[in-house]
Amino acid sequence: MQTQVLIIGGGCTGTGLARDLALRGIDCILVEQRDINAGASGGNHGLLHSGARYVSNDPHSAVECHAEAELLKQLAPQCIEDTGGLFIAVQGDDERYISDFQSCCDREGIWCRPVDFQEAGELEPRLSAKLIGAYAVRDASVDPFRLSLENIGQAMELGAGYYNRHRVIGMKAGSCLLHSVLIRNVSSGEDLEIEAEVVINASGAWAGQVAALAGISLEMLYSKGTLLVAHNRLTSRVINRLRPPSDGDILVPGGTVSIMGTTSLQLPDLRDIRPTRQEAREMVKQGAAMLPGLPDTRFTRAYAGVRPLLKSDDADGRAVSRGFALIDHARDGLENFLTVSGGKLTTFRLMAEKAADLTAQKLGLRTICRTRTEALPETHIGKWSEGGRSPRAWLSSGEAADHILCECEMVPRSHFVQVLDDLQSRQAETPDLDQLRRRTRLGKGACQGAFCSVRVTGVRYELGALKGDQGRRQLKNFLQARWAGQQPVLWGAQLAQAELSEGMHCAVFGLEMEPYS
Amino acid sequence: MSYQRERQTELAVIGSGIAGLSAAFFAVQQGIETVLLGGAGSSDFASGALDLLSTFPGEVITQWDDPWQALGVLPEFYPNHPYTHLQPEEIDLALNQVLQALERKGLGYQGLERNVQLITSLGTCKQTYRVPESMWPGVKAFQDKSPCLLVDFHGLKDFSGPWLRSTLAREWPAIRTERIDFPETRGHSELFAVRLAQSLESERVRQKLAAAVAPLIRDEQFLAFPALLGLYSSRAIRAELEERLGVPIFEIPTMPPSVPGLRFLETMSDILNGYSCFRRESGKRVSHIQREATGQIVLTLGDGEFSSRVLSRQVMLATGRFLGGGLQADPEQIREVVFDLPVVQPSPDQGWHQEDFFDPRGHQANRAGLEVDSVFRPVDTQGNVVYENLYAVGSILAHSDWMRMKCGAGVAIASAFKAVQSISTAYNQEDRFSL
Repeated sequence: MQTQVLIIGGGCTGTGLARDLALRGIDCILVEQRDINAGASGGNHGLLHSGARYVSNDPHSAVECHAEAELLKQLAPQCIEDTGGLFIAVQGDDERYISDFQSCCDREGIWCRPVDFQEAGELEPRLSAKLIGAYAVRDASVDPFRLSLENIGQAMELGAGYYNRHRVIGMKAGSCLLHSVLIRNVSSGEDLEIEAEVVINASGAWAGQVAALAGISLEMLYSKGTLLVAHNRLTSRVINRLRPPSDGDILVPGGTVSIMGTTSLQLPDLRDIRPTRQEAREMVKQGAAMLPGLPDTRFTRAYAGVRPLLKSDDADGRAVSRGFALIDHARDGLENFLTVSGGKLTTFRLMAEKAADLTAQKLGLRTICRTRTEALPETHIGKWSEGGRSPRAWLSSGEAADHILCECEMVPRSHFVQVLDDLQSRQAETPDLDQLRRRTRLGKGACQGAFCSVRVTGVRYELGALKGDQGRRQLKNFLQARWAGQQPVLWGAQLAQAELSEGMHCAVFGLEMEPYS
Repeated sequence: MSYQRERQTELAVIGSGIAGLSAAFFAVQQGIETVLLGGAGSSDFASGALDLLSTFPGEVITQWDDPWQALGVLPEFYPNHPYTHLQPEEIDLALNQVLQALERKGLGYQGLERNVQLITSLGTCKQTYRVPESMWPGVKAFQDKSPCLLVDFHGLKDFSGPWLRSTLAREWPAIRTERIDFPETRGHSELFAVRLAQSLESERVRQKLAAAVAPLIRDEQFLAFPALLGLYSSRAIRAELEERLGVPIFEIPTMPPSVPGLRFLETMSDILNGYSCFRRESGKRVSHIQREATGQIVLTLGDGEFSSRVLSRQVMLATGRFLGGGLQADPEQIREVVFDLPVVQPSPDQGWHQEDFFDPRGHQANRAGLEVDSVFRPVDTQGNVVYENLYAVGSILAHSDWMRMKCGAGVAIASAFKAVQSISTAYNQEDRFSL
């Protein structure tokens, strides 16, 4: 198989790059070893940075974030909830940091307004009464899944190819060029060789491993960030702690939930990237300074992402610049190989633009970037991942026979069938429940998939999409994958919920005695 | 002025799941004046089958065909399991008393001296001890792989015949499925098993169901339905359908809430209501407790103006675990809700939960709970009885992972039996003394 450009990695950068290249009329293929946003692009809090977070320690990133955030609000409004944000400080926080905040924002041209404490309390009733500083900023929340699905959706409409569950296993290089990349279908084990004029490594935390296949050493820093999902939406706005970046200093609302973040833990490798109970407890404790009700808040799950940072001499993951790196491996002797790494969700478009500019130059093409000016069209594949959208559509359709399969998030049968059909038309193998979860609200509500996964599996047998004991095995894998996130936050009501799930799946159905797939 | 109703009783049982209902049943049989408190329990989330003991969790799961043999070696592996306070004869007696009383009310159970394999709606095998008689023909049909027609219903999203057929196709090829409209449900897109079970109490609906199913039967020797054939008179309903259709019928356990679980709760309540020494105070939670100098325990139910009080000489906790509401956890520890009794906590070094949901060893948090003496009175960390007139039974007990060991009903019923025996002995002695 041949293409002009091969992109490795289906996160925000890779999918954004596919769209950017496709809009320039450049032929490209994207390969992803798991699924869209399976890495850090899906493991973050979904914050569209106003830039205010970085004004004191990384002004360059602050300015970049600010410009990109304002652009995305215009061009991809379907993926963004323009919530606004607050920076707050509480008794005991560093007063010098607080007093410098406004002037730092002003210096970088980032909008920021002091808010009096009574007003802050009225805007966000759950805030601590012990405020000593409060500023309004233009933070917003973004749905990274939707963003990536829309990006790859348009890219594919324009002719880009997409292979998910295909892992890069080898590269063939000549004296100064990469000739081809060997990929393997992780489900079937089949191999495929793709010849490309330019190869772009956008594999996030795996960038070092991918570069190694081309014989290039790229030293990475792995910094694990753990986040918690609250059962309800706790605030209308993004709430930031007005202090130097540290654990438990941000709460991002998105749809029907709020995301509490974040921790930062250096890891030597990518082997253990699960969130832990200890991290969850610590974050709740820290976050309680901003929102005193957090210890009694119901959290449904935790998840962790690995911040892909290129190694510098600095040892702390947070202090490394969040500015991205675009590496032209001509420096390592390969003229047609690039790595784009680091950066933030907010600046994904800019990273893609820069990488595409360099790619076009390497291809000898004169093109201009169109993602800076053209709106991201709304494709249908991403829409059911938005909280609250399914029930609205279901209610207004008045389709009585279309019953609700997921009662927590109110998703009707037809939405699942639509997404499954779409997946089935794009891939050879049977879609699994995890793919369905990324594209709908499956398993995202209070029951964490205990009930809806069974119902959806039943429907798929009825449609002839599953055979033999595929369903039981898929179900077991899915429940296990969901468990990894629930396990760190099992206390209060969510522990009772977990007992119901185990009572059903182990005590009644005996699933623990069955094999995994 | 607040109005407070007050009731004096010999025994107050808190919790009306399997353990609470069983405790009340054993008590009223002895003529002990009993008040049953608390909500419906989480038992409608059980399958309706009665587990005794079938599995030892561990690095490798051990499955026992013979629960009595498993009970014999249990103390070696689980020296503090609630069953270790019971003789096999006591467990057998307790189960039989409950089963006989249910049978007299028309809720039959069947089984063997060993555990049996029950096919569930996911196509898995549930190993259990006593099976609702409505499911019993299914055990035999599965054993013999007899030709069987499985009927399910449009709109009943919790049950999928095609799933079951496809999953079992290799071992039981002679299953065929048909999906039909449930009678008199036009205009209802979603159907719920409990609601359908209720509607089958009507003869007209049964007639229509039989008429719809009859032409679908070819040469099948069995007819299977999801478990929804009646709520109150399931025996008569199934018999009538069998007569109309001419083949043995069985039910397949479904996702919760389960109709057979509800049948158990309803029939037990019905039995209890027949005793004049029995009262029920339902709907309100115990909001406050106080122990008087005489030892009598005062339980306040509900809050404020509409609260009531129960003054009881003996109290039995059958409040269940996290789902039932007997235990509650914050990020740091697990608490017992009503009396704040000492709780055996998960050991900090092993954590509350395994990383794998289906880890064959089970989760530590599911073995936390109350430590008790040999007659099921909670003890403190030194092993001293907390109150000599306070008992705890059922799933709240420590060292028993009911979900993994498949011992929920057995522990609930047998621990209730033993605790009531202890109360009864004390009660009779006092009676004689006061004469």
